[in-house]
Amino acid sequence: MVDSAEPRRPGTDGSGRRRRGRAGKPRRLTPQPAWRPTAALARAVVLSAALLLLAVLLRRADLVVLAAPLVLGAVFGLVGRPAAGPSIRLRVPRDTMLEGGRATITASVTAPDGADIAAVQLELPPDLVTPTALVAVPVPPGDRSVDVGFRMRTVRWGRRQVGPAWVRATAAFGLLSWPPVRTETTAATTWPLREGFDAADTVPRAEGLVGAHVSRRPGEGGDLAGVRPFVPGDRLRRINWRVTGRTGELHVTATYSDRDTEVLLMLDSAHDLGRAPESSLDVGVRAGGAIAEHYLRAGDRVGLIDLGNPQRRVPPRNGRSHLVRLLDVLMDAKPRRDQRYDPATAEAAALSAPHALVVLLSPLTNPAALAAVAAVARSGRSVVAVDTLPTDIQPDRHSDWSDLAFRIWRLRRSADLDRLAELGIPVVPWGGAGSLDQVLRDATRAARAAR
Amino acid sequence: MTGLAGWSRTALVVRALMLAAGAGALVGAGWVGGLPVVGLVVGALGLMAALIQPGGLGPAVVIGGAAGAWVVRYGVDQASATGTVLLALALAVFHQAAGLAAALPPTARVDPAIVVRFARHGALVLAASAVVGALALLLVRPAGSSSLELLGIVAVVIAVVVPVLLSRSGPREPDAR
Repeated sequence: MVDSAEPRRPGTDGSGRRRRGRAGKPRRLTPQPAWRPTAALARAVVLSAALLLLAVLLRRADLVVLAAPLVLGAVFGLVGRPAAGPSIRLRVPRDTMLEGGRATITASVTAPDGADIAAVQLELPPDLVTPTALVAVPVPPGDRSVDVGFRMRTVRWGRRQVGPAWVRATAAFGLLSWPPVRTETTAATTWPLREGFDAADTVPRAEGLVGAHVSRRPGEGGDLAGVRPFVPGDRLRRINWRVTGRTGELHVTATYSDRDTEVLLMLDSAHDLGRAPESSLDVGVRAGGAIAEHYLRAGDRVGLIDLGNPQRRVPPRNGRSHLVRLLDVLMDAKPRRDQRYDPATAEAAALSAPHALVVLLSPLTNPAALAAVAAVARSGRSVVAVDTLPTDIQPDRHSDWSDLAFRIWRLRRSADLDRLAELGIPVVPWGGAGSLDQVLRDATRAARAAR
Repeated sequence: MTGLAGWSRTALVVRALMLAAGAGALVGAGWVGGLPVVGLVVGALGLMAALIQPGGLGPAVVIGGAAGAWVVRYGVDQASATGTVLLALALAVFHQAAGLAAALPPTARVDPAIVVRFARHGALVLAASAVVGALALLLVRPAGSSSLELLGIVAVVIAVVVPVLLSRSGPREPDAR
């Protein structure tokens, strides 16, 4: 049995004996990588030899002059030829990349002294764009490594493999070359955070008594509510001495209480309509990431249900590390055509806090998602539907009836949206930061009026 | 193959240098005037092949063609020193530029230090060649002698054996991670 920790020598079996083919003849070995002569070296040797031979036979010194640069160029170049081959290592940024952001992937090339040129090529997935993926750099003297940076822009969120990277080295001023050496691929993650979501009016109904949202209820908070006369029970440190001194009566500084809330994101990944990187799932994942980041930064608890994969639920939690967990689940979202309405999904949403804000991220074409969000709305929670359907969506033309079918589909969807409106579920298209301001303001007003 | 629009400026400049030096060498050696149309076509095709694929046989065709035309042109007579120097210069520049062009992928972004390094090496080779060429032209004896022939044979042997021996290096495993 061969110990896997000990590498085999090429061309031998586990016991070190040379492998043989069926006929008992030794197998042909794979050629070992080595510095090999290029066409330039062969040219220099053959032509200079011919010229010198003719110079002798014809007794012409001018042919020696013609041959001299070829011979001397070869000799000068080969004097400092390297012995070992080059190596290459690929490094992706340790920090996670953000969608639409820029990053530098570095290929670190080490070549022995005497090598001249290292041509490095990096293979990239289509979601990572770089102006040039092929760079030729001089090899520094003294066995030092040279870092080749590939500046790139991330077009779309997701997990992907970067690489492999190849290096092709030449030495002796183009007279020797080493076969291409490649790296393994490296995983790179791009988070679906393109722009920060920012809501002026944060949550319709806050849940707890401690948090970052300013409530309309006076209490121990940071935001100034006004100055009022002192009443028994007020804390002494709240006394506003300036107003007290001016009026001659005790006054205290009143503040609003700070509160937090719970936000539940429901991602509808059943259908992915449109084309990447602006498809409905792209927009939904981006919106989910932005909203989650916003509310987590405010100290709220955020949960997630992927309607396409209800088993992967993220219970509401808060904190920066929770954002990573949410983004992990968001990035695993994949469209599933066979998805059916799962009543457990609505039940799970119903288990969220009574005053939770439920945000549905959906192209609103999936009856299962509409049914689930309708059930949540009936439970009395504040629900906002974010329409992720691309505005410029066009039907695939299969037949002459495609346009008509598309119009009927549009009308049916419009009727569904009307039914959502009847249930009091506002529908807003995702437009980046500030998308939900008006809706949240209306929902807050409605929640306050109901009480 | 990528179109010329995708090629780097360095690749285009190096090929322009190859074109100038190669065409100059062929014309100066008498290839165009001294050989029939077939020779002209072969020279042009060789030059074109050298520009497209400098790591192939094209450069050898150009250098060999120019040197062959030079040999045929003068036969057993001595060529003019000026013409010889100019032709040697053109061939050396073409050979060096072809080596550089073969080492650089045409679409790669190229660090200018590579060109500087090659130019420095080329200048060193030309300087040494000038010394060797001057010695050869000064020491030549028109009638010829056995010592010159012996020297030439030794030079042939050295020219063939030394680069071949120097080019041999032991195989090493690359350390790819």
